[in-house]
Amino acid sequence: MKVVIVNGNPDPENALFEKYLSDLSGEISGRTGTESVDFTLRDMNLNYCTGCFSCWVRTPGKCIFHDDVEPVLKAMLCSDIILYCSPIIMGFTSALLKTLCDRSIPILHPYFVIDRGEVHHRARYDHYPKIGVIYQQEESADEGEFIRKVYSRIAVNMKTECIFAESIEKPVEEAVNELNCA
Amino acid sequence: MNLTVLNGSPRGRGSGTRILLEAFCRGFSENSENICHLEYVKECVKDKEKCTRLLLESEACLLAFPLYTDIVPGIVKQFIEHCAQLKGKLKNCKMVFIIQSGFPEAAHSRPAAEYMRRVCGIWGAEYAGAMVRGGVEGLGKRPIKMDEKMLDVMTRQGKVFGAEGRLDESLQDEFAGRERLSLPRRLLLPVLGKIFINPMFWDRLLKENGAYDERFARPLE
Repeated sequence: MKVVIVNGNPDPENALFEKYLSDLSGEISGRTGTESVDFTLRDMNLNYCTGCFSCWVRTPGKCIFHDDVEPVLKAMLCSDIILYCSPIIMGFTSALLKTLCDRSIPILHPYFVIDRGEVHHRARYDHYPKIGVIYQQEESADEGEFIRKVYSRIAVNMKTECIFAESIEKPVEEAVNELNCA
Repeated sequence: MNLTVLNGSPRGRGSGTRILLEAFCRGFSENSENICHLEYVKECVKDKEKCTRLLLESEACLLAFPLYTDIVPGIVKQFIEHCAQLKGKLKNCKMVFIIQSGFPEAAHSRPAAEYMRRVCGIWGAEYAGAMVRGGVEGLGKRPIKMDEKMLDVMTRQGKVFGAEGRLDESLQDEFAGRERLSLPRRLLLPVLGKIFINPMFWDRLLKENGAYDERFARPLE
């Protein structure tokens, strides 16, 4: 099982979150038959999606920006699970992570299809990884249910399913066990 | 009333969001005491202090954006994060939202409206509602006559907001259009898509750009 871990934490001083992801990556890589590929978005060159649709109507499947997003998308397409990881900031996962989601539309085709009763875009590839979310709760607010709801919708758009949305309060071993069962 | 109008479209001045905002502001400004102050999020997000100042100094704010992968575009999320220090400090600010998407159903944008209600709660601002609409992609690029009715609803809504400081629910419903596609429409869409929607919209653009033959390319494999 190949897992892509995307770290969307903008604050390197957030030691609790960074340690959790480091332990998670170690736990995944330490188990037989599983491996992880890690990306830390704050250290990468990442442009906002400008909604130009070049990736759909000029250079199909390719973004006009030649920044650090393409390696993430390539890794994602040959993985089994992508883990979107972020502290909750102002009620949702980080702008960094959201920007990566926006920049993921080249892996879709623009044509409209009906998917799970709604209009969505057609798949461009045969395989898409399942989605998991690891978040760090913001102060006393409990956003878990909302996070799961939105990422479940993102998963429909990304031709897959959201199998996992857990806070970093879940022990790393249990989180990896859950991924293995997915 | 002074209304801060934030265009959250990453396309900025070339966006369909701009046309919706202009329609709203036309109605809002019918009362000569009302003033709209327009800002583009893609520009002000470069200056964190400006973002916070804009909200702190607003008695009312309209934030409009296109739906990007089921919620706010990354650039709008960054604007919101820039204003994280305003938690509980916007008690005197009333906020309304326009959320539009290219999908035909309004239902896609409801979680984004829910998110904006949550953000208002964090800021302590009054959430005065959202105007949600699907099928907006192409606005400004197709004959404006096709969108006259929708823009008229937006102008009437602006007028109500300018006069009463609230959104009219029946205009919200009228603006939203289809919440979901009916079963017959869902059954028809694959056929209509093949013979009408995809050729008229996506294929036309692909051909204009000389990219039609590459439309099923898989360059990331």
